[in-house]
This record gives sequence, C-alpha cells and structure tokens, in this order.
Amino acid sequence: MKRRHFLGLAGAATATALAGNAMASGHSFEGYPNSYGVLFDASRCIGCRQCEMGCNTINSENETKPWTTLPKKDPAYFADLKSMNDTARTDSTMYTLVNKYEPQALGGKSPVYKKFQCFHCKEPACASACFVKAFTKTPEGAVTYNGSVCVGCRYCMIACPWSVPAYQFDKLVPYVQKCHMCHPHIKAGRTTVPACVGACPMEALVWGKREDLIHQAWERIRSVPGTYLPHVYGEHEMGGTNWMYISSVPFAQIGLPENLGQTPAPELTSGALGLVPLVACLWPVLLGGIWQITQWKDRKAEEATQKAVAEAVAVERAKAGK
Amino acid sequence: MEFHVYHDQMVFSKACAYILMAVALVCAIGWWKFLTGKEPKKNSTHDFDDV
Amino acid sequence: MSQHDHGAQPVILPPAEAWGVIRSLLKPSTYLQFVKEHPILSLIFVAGVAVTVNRFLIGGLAGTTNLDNNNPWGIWISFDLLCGVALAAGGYTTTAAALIFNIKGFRTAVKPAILTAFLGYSFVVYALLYDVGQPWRLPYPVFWSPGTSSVLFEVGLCVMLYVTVLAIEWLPNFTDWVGLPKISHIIHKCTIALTIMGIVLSTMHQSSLGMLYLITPSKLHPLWYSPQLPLQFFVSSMVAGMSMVIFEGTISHHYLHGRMSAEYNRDHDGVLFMFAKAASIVLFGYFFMKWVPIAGENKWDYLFDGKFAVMWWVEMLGFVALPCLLYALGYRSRSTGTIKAASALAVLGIVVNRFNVSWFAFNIQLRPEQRYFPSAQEVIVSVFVVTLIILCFRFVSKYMAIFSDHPSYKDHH
Repeated sequence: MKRRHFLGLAGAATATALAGNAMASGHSFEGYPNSYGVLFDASRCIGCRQCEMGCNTINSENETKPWTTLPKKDPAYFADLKSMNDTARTDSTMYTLVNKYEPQALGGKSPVYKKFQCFHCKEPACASACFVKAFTKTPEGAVTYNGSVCVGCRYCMIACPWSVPAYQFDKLVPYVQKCHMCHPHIKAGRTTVPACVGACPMEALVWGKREDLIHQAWERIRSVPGTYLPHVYGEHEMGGTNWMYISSVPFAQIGLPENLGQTPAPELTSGALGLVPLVACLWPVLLGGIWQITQWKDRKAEEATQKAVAEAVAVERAKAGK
Repeated sequence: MEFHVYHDQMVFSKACAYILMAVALVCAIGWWKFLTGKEPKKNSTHDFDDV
Repeated sequence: MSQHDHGAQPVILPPAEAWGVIRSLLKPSTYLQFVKEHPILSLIFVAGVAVTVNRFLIGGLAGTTNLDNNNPWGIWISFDLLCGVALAAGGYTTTAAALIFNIKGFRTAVKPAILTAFLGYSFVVYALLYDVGQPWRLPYPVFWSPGTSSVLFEVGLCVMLYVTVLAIEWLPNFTDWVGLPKISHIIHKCTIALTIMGIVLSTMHQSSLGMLYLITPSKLHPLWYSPQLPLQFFVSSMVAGMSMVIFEGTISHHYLHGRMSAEYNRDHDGVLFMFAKAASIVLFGYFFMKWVPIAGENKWDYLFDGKFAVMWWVEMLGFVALPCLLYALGYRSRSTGTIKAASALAVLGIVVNRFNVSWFAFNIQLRPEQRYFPSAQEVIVSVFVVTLIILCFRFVSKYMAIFSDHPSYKDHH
C-alpha cells in the first residue's frame, strides 16, 4: 500500500495536510455501525441457480423504478444448469449470476460454484467515481443506485474493481443495473432478507451484521481445519466489503481477483484531488508573478534603449556643435 | 459532523474546496484591482511608477 | 531567420459582407456547391449523419458501438476525449508563451492556437454527446447533483469553464469580423486574466484526465499505472500542445497560405524553433519522469516481460526519445523539415500514450476474446468529428483574421 502513495513526497504531504484527509489525522472510518451483509460459502454452493431465480422474481414482480426493475425470465431459464461457465458476467437483465469453475486446486475436474453480484463495499468505488452522486452507501449496508440523476458516463463501471455495474446499452434511455441487496424490498417490507439469501436451499448464503458474519466465517474456518482457506474475502479487500466469501479453493481460481489491495477506492484519488485547489491558488501567483517580471523587464529594456538613443543623439549633437 | 464513510466526507470536503476556489477567484479580482490601483495623490516627490 | 517574408495583408470582408456570408449558410445552394467541390468530405459528412441518427433514434449504443459491460469505454473516450483534450493544449501553451512569458514573435501564433483549442474542446463536448447514455443530462453534475468526490466531476467542471474561457478569448475574431468592436475591446482588456484562468484550468483538467485511472490499479498494467499518472498527463500535454501548433501550422501553411500576413510568416519559423527547443526539453524531462515510478515502485521485472514490455519500450523510445532527439537535431541545424517530422511523431506519441493507458494496457485482466475493438460506426463518428473540426477551422480562417491582424487592431494597441 505504501508504494501507491509514492507521489512526490512534498505533494502527498501537502495534499494530505490541506485536503483534510482525515486518514492522516488519526480518525479512521469504521463504516456505519450495525450495517448488514452476506457471507457466501463456496464449499456449500451446488450451483442450483435458485438465488438467480429469486432475484429475478422479486425484481420483476414488484413496482419499483426502471433502474431497479428486471425483465421477468422463464423459470426454465434458471433450470438450465449446463450453461454455467467461468466467463459469463451479469448484464442489464440480471443482478446476479452463478459461475462454474473447475479449479486447478481440485485437479481441474470437480466443479466449484460462485455467486457473483455487487460486493457492497464499505467505501464503494462506484460512489467515489460517480460525478452525479448516483450511488449511496446506505446505513443498512447496501450500495444503492439512483438512476434519476445518472448521465450514463459509465465511469462507475470502469472504477469498480469487480466490474459489477451493467449498462442498458440497447436502450435509448439507458440506466445502470446493479444488485441493491434488496434494499428497496426490505425497506418496503416485502422481505426480511435479500431474495437470493432466502432462496438458497444449502445455506450457502447467510445474512447478518457484517461484524457477526466475519466472526461466523472465522468460526467456520477454525472449526474444520484444513477445509477452508484461512481468509475471508472481502474482510479487507478494497477497504472491506459487506458481501464476503469463504472458500476451500484459492479465491483466484473461482474468479475472485486477489490483486486488489486493501486501499479503499476514495483513498486512491483523494491525494491527487487534494492538489487541485492548490493549483488554483498557486498557479495565478506564479503566472501573475512571471507576467509582472516580464512586463517590468521589457519596460526596463525599453528605458535602457531610449536612454542609449538619447545619449547617442546628444553625443552626435555635441560633435556637430563643435 | 460525524461521517461514518470516508466517501461521504470526501463529497463534503471537496464541495467546500470547490466553493472556496470560486470565492477565492472573486476576491482575487477585487484584491488585484486594489493592489494595482493608485492611492489619491498627496505630495509625493517620487513615484515608483515603474514597479 | 524566416525563409519567406511575403504575404500581403489578407482580405477581410467588411461587416456588411460578413453578415452576407453568414446568411449564405442558411441557403441550400451553399451546401450543394460544397458537395460538388468536396465529394469526399461530403461523403464523410453523410456517413456521420447516418450514424448519428442510428445512435440517437434507432440502435442506441448497442446498435452503434462494440461497447459492452466489460468494456464500457471505447475510442470515443480514448481518442475523442483523451487525445482531443491533450492535442487542444496548444491554447494554453501558446498564450502562456506569448502573453505571460512575453516571448517576442509569438503574438501571431496566439489566434490560430486559440481557434484550434476552442474547436478542439467544443468538439470533445460534442463527441461526449454520442458516448454518454443520457446526453441531455450533461448539465447535471454541475447544476443539479454535483458528485464532488469524483475526478470526472473535476474534469467536467474544468472543461466547461475552459470552453467558456476559450469562447470568450476567440469571440473578438467574430465580433471584429461582423463589426462589433466594442465587445472586442472589452474582452481585450481582460486578456491577462483570461489567459491565467485558461492556464490554471488547463493544468487541472489535463492532469485530471490521468487522475481518472488512479481508481483502477487492478485494471491498468503496472508499467503505466502510477500515482504520478496525473503529472505525466500534464507534462505530456505541454508537448502535445506545442507539437500540435507546429503540426497544424504546417498544414495551414499549405492550404491557407493566402490568409497569412507578412508578419505571421516572419514569425512562423521563430515559433517553430522556440517550440521545438521547448518540446525537446520537456520530452527529455518526461522521458526520465516515466522511469521514476519504475524505480520507485520496483517494477523492473515488467520491463522485460511479454508484449506489454514491448509496447512500453516502443512508446518510450519511438514516441518520446525519438521526437526529443529529432526536435533537438532540428533546432541545432535550424531545419524546419526535421522539426515538422518531430512534431508529427510527438503528436502520434500522445495518441499512443493515451491509447495505451485507456485501451491497450487497460482491462488486461480480461481474456483475449473479451477485449474491445471499435466498430466501424464508432470510427465513422471519430472521423466525422475530426472532419467537422477541420471544416470549421477552414471556414473561420477563410473569413476571419486568424493568421493576420484585423484592420481594427491598431485601435486596441
């Protein structure tokens, strides 16, 4: 992480001091207390796609905004278990999907399934990147999207380390589509847990407070030594996420990149952004100063030539006068 | 003002920074006119007009 | 020093006839004449309009581009936005040289540079109308819901303010032409303030375009990702600006020679040599600047590893070191030919760098079959935008006093 802050030392220090970067002053951001999340256990998932169906059902059968509504899919679509693979990703007609991997760690023959959806980061990159504040990290834990201000710049898609947000490229009035942890549905009382969590027959998905889930995850890891990798994916990645994973095979082999680092997304840009007001203050000083100096120099040069000309004329006149 | 999420603090502090820059710009114009303006003439034997 | 001292004062139409020219733009016969005289340009225009209709009324982004959920940004960002903004940097570099550093002989280079910058930035905004999903909402970030944590907000705000500054700086060319000298006079009084604002805004948004990629450490190849990206983008924008002034000046000289005054022609070579020297110096510094993150972040191994290493060396040696050397050679021997070649290479180098950061070395975690390649329609739009810039530049230079002083110049000075 220290390597990332290898900006010119003076620049970084100045930026930190003047941008009010609270990280430097000792205040740390713990996130909202009592925010909820989900723990996914890759060793329990059997790839039945019930979570996908539950998600599609709740988001197509309820009246919500255009950007929280999905087109209803035929149950037969989710019953097809053969089409799962390791490259498919969500598009604008779904908030989640299950990928199937055949990891090297198990000899490349046994399938391991992983559910992909928004990770609901503690410090979301999408929210940091959005120039119209379309994303909100709610106190409940979900990262929600407000399409009513969205311009469609798609910087959120660039910024998200997992490339979660999908876009309605085929629509003439397009929106981003992304898992919202069933926040509007829970708020409206239609459900107490996200639809995918409720639909899972294997308890591969567990709902709870983030701190409790981390505790639970480590309990599970400790209780069966040698089964799980001693790591809770999302505990620290990108500063921590509310949707976390435990797995018995290396995370990279089930499509969870392990090169993301622990720096929260806003911190990646706060140093450089802090220099912007400094440029606004100092450049006019520098440029105005240089301009004054060149003006002054030119005037002095002008006076010097005039003086030299006057002297030369006086000498000539004196000569002619003799 | 307590922020639970660093992102929320960033939105607020950067909004302050941009507003500050706009205010500085407006004040700079007034200050520049003051700096380069002439004092009402009293009895000055030398004018540092070329500075 | 100049090879040619000639150039009669180009004809500037009096205001009454200027309005006649403007009125002729409303007549269909003007366009029919244009189609007859310029069949290829007209073809590009028609293709551009066709894709525009498809993009906004029929197929949307899906029917027009090869963008997808893994590759949300394509050449309309890589080329039209990133390269467009970098190559329009001639505005701030030239006005800095002429008006702040007060370098003699740069005065005549200011108006063409401002025109290039004004058109360049205006058409960046135009191209964004195509790329963004709901372009009618483009005022939202500034006027409705500012996302101040976002680097893109800063880019948008700065570009908006800078286009305004450029429009004001360019306006006297128009008001002189149509006979509104009072407006020209008021604007001329604010020249230094506008120039300083322009340089401040340019610094901020040139570096912010590099800042955009700071949030993607896992998607951009380590040879390009660095916290110093903003600084690299800013420094290279200076090279881009100066090189574009030379490059565009060369082309203009060929096609618009009749519009150039004697003074402009006299100054022209001086500008070339001064910018060549400056560009060589900046490229030298930039070359070593690009090594700093390699050393500082211990990225030596990447330099010899696979095709990205090759791309990096090609960019550094062919498009940074080589133009640096050519500029120096051209300056030493006062060879305008070498300098012009160097400027073409430097301009290309900026494009290569921006393409590497935003496309070739970006999204490297994707499989080869998932990677992006532009559609024909995307290319048509980019070509269309460049064509429009050239057409506008031609029109303005043909009628207004861009490469010469307007008859009313003496009234201001």
